[in-house]
Amino acid sequence: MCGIVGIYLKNKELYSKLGSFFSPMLREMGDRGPDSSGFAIYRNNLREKFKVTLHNSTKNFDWSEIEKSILNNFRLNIKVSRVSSHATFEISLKPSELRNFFNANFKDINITSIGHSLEIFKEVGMPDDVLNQFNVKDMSGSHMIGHTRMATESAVTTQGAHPFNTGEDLCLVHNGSLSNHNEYRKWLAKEKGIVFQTENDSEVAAGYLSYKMEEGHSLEKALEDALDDLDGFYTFAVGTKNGFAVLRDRIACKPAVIAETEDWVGMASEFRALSRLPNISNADVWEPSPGKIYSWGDNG
Amino acid sequence: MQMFGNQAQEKFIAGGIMDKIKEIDLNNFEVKELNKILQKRDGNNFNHFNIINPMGAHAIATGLDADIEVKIDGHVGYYCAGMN
Repeated sequence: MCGIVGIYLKNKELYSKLGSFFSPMLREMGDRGPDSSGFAIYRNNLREKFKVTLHNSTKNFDWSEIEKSILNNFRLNIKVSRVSSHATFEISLKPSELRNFFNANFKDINITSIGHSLEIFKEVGMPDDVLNQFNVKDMSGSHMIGHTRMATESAVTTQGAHPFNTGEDLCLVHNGSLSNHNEYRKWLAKEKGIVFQTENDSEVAAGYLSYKMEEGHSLEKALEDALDDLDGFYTFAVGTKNGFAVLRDRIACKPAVIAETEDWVGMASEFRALSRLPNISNADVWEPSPGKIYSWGDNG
Repeated sequence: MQMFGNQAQEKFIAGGIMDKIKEIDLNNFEVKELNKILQKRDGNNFNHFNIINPMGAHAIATGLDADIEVKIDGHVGYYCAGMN
């Protein structure tokens, strides 16, 4: 069991309230996944530059070493924002260059996300701790996706926590379990150059969607193909730079509820996570159908 | 009589039988407290309860052992009306 949540704002006037809408959603899912919590936020689209968000669990870790190393290697201007155990670097390097550089030079650093607007923060622990640690309630942005984890098939570590990002600006959270992820991990890494950081099945699902989108497919087409290629049971919530999608496998034994008003779309494993959203009593609320792709915004 | 909800009313239904109704707002109670009230029919004073703001909570109206009417206005979570 895990808990997943997502909120996509259709009304730009609400962007400043994104974090306050999202926080109770994630908190409510704590008892579905008490071992790790994480969230992805889409905000401050940089257009030209990329944001790379990094994690290191050492207390008072000295991020300036990394800053210096980037300056020495690339002679580029960078901007660094630190929040707790994470730091976001704004830099004009391509995602593949960034991944190769960090994987080659900093073994103790975990890349949580790379994108023009995506940032991912995640930790071992209950959602309340994570929400407070990163001051989520005051965050602004266009959409957020979150996960509370009850680990089933890989270690309880920050790296194993969701959301997972593989390509640029794409992230995925997953409730369920995949059965053919090992095959796909090997194939995607060898044939398509996708870099994986964990043994986690959900990271493979993120990698699969990134590969499909890098081949030029829309998110909707990538998810359609996933229905045939990924074996197992799942509810996925997926974020892209300007879009949001939900998919359940064709049997759909993992729960999901969607609610929608003129101003926002929310999804969660259970309705209770949506129950504090503004105007929820007038929202359209439904259970997404098995094997049907639901998407909002522009998904490429 | 201890008052739990913000409304308690009595109304006559068809046949003239008195149906004592109590409204309970789950914004003001934990589910465990609610279920205790329902199990004891609030000291045998009521046989009809309306529950508002259920907020998708689990295990609403579980473990009831008497023939009472419980109406819930909104969404509920797992185990609703279980073990009755």
